[in-house]
Amino acid sequence: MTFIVHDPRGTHVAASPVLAPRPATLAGLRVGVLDNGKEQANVLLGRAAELLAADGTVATFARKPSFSRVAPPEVIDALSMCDIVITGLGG
Amino acid sequence: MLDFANEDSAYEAFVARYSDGLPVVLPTPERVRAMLTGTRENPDDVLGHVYPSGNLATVRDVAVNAVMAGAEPRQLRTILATLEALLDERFNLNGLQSTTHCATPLVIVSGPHAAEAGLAAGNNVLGNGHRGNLSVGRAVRLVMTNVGGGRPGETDMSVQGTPAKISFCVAERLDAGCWPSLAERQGGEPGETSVTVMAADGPVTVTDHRSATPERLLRNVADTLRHMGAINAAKPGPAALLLAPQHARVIARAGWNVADVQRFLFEHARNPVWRLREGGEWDPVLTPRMVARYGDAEDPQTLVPALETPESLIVAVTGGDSGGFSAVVTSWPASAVLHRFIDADGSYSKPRAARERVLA
Repeated sequence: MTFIVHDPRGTHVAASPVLAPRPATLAGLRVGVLDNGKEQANVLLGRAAELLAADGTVATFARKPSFSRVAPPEVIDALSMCDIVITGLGG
Repeated sequence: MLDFANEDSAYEAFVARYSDGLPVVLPTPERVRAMLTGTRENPDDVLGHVYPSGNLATVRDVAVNAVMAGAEPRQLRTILATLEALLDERFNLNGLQSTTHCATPLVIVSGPHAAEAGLAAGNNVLGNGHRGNLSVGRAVRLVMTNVGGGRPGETDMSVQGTPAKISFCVAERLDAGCWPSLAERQGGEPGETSVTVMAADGPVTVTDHRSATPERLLRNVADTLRHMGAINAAKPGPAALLLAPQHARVIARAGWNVADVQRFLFEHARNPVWRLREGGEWDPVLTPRMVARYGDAEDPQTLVPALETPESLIVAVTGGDSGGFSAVVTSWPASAVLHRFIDADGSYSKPRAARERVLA
């Protein structure tokens, strides 16, 4: 190896995101639903919450005030007691 | 450092992995050292996390990408000042980098350092032919891509993008003789240069060779500002007006200052509720709440401004002397318009609380 150049990617500090393990069942789990706030996300996610409720799982529902910004601390706090959170993107 | 078998294999790898699609200059240690002569900042100083990757950018990392963009050392301070503003969390670079919208940072450089940095403010200022302007915008884009990880189709989910995503940097004409410069209006001290950033749509041309009064000319500008395709129509926010010198002179000769322009456009760049309901981004829940700030949301004739406040409009004079062509730049609303100053002695400003003013 003979040709040296600078790495343009800066200092790598963030680990690549890893998906959380998928639960085999929702029984006994505390479930949250996060509406990202984009158009029509509430249609799909609201329906998901209804179906969960019909199955006996009452989900904690939270909505991001802006789909273009990260969720504010109060939204994260509202979901922090959940074992799993279901979310999705509207559009 | 990255180690390659030879220069050709390094070039192939960089164009494939670390470019904006166009060939780049390889950041050899010699070239990066030369680039760093463009600042007195410590190369190891950290500017901040660049999202969505969250990787850290140092002054050296910025210089590396500036070399790749084809910049000269004299443009490095402008590039650093731009990134200082973009990495302010109020700018929400994470959102801008991952949005489905087409938006990209618009960079406006106002003050004497622009000429020292080789930035153009004359003919074809938004177009080709200006190495300084193009390489400042391109270096910023390469930092966003390479350090920040904003890659089209992976994390950058922009549906169509805009040619302005390759580079979008203008300098202001300081010799138009109309008004104090943008930097002076931002509170800059004599000799200071401001670098202003806005999350922007691509520019829309406003053609007008007929108007001899500010009112006639600015009604045309207002019509462009309030067009229904921009988010501004349904959600009042910031925008930029890049005024041709010829247009600026029509306005200034009538005795109007920049605040007069801002007030007129705040009042006239408005859509009635009936038009907002007929098309565009009308949200049945959120839009009426927003409209209520300006009048009765149930009244079809209530007028809703494209600008959140008169001061939400950035006004800068730029372009060639002959011709009546200005540009309106509407915005992506989840971001604050910010600016940083480059000192009279040429160092880019560190975050200084008293000088970090949010324009909108």
